[in-house]
Amino acid sequence: MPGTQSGMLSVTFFTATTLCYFLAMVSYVVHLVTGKRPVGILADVLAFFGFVLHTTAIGLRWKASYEMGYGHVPLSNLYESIVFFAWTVVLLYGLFEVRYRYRSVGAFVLPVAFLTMAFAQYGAPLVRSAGSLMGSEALGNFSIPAGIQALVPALQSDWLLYHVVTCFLGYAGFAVGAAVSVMYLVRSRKGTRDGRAGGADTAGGILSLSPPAEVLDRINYQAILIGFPLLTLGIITGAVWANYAWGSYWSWDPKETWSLIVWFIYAAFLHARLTRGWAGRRAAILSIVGFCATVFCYLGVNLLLPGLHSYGGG
Amino acid sequence: MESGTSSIVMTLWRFFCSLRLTIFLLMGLAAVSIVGTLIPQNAAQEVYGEKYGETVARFFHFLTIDDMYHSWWFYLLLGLLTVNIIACSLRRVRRDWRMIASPVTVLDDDLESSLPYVRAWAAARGVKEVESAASDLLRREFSAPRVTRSGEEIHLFARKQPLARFGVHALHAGIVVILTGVVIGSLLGFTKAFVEIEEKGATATANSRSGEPIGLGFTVRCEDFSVSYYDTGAPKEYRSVLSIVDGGKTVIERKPVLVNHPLTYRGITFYQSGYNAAAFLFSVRDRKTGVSTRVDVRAGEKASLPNGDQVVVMDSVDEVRGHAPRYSGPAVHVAVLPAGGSPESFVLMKNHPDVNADRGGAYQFSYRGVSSWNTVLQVARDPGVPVVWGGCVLLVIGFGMTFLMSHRRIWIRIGSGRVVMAGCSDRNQSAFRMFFDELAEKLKEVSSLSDIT
Repeated sequence: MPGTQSGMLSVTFFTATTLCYFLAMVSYVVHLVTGKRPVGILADVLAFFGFVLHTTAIGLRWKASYEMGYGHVPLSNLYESIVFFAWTVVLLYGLFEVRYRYRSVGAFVLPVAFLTMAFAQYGAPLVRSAGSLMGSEALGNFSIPAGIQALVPALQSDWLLYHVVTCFLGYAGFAVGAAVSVMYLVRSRKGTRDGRAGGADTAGGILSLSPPAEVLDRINYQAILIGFPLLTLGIITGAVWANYAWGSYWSWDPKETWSLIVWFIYAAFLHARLTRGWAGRRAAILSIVGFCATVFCYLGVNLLLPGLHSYGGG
Repeated sequence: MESGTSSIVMTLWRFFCSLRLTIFLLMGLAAVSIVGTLIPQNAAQEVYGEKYGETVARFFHFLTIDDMYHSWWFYLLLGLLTVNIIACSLRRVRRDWRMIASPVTVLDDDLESSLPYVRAWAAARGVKEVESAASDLLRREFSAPRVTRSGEEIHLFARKQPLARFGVHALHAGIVVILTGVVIGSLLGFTKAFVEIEEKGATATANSRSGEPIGLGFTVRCEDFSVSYYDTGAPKEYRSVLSIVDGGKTVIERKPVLVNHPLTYRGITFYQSGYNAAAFLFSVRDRKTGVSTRVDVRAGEKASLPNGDQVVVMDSVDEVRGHAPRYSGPAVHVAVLPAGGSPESFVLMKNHPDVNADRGGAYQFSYRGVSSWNTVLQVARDPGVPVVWGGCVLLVIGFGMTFLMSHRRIWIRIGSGRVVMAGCSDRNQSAFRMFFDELAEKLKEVSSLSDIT
């Protein structure tokens, strides 16, 4: 556990953030079901407040690392990356909500943020029990150390910041796209084939406030249009850094390969939209498949496949 | 015969210009790459035999599935994708260039019906007056228009950022350049070679991963190696100080090389990769006479003690805290082989000389630490790297152009008594629609137009 005052404070703030996101998530769902505007506003306030707490917590952790003598950007191990990922998801969601003003999307995106934060704090014991049930040694020994650690020489580089930030902003875009795609599939299942059941709700009480299917489809597309170039930058900065540190910009390491796999999938998505027949349902499914690949790239590779990124996984 | 060949060429061209091929290749590359992360790559033959059985293992080797990212069919997929990109780009570049170099400046009925944003009004003022008001407005709010006279009507055409259409071409060109750089590097370079140099030692040869020697063409000397630790015992920084001697002259003197700070000379780059101990220093005290001697034990070799016994270091750690949390500092696992007796092995720790001080037979051993280090440097040459970076820059510029620029066009047709304004944008429709509607209102005002009822 982080030993300094800032470190202790950051732990408190992270817990408070998780709680805020939970309450925001609940409020968004209640807002989606009942359609009451004040509940939606409360959800916005909670999400925003949680985001402020979250940003402060990350800042405090950054400060604490300097107080402990090994100052570094808080992006160096699995715990820090999970917490940062949740932050980028909420940031991107906030930008989309300001642009599109559809609060109901929060009911699908905030769960991602909340579950991510909860996983950071409490996920390790769950994975360990799953691991011992499955007989997997890698999973059985899984842990997410929350302490602030000194950076091993390989991570002592500015490229750590550029590479991790761009990759996670990319992941966040894909997360928002997938969340909205889930909404789309739920909605379009109750209406006609491509969800054009009419703007006003024929999709039933639960989704009384969800945006029309075409809007969801557009948000999905926009989110991927944000995520894809950021992922590209993430891969490029990773390659530049690898060339510096390990003498080769591409080694077909499982993590590198999986990031390229995710890139191929979303490149296919963007090109498919230029062909007729790939909007709507198929696009939503491909977006969800892409996000599953993203999650595997982020966590599955560290847990299940050996390689250069294993120390980055914490 | 000629029509036969040309129809084959046409079919091939159509095949490579298709977007369906792009989607197929991208998803195919994704699927195939996934397989390569699940099946071990470049492992020894026995590994595949054990894991999958002999027949499957031979099948994998035959299809190069054990090194699939360098297999002929993976390169074929990438090659097909490259041809696909180039074909699609060539086809579209022609069209885009024509659109930019010779734009349609006259708004006829066909064009008008094809455009998404159209407004029409009745005009009270004369054609000349409306033309000058509209031109001024366009110049102020959008861009200076071109004026074309067609019969009794005047057509104004204005546009912004036509080069936005080339953003997608820059993007795709970037990818092709990157792939070219990859090919150049794999043909003309080498990576994953290494050298291991002891302090004060030198070498002129690197070893490739498969063990083949690679002559460097010059000599690399390690003047010094040092490693510093955090208070937790984890390595904080390790560095080699290298000199390079080329043709008898010392061209590089005492340059420090750390992780993330490599050294390049004549296209070959040295990266600090790791280190290990070359020799260990002990102080042995004869239990009977009390005389102490210093003994230097080289890694992997037996050293002789004054009485004929031998000692060898079997294992060493920089920081023993990970294995034995109550202790700290460097530690070694030694075996003492007495001249006429049974060997005994035990652990010695530099910071805790009392531990196992009773072992070792005739001598009391005290471990002083590593006396000489080997630095392990990764060595690589890749002339394709600058090409790859150039491709990346082009790719990023392409993304920037595609996302931040948009090609917008506005036409205004002024006839006697009637004015029509139409526009289109290649992206960001909602922003353009808002701009178009505002511009329409301003045009109505400055030209004193009235709605057609």
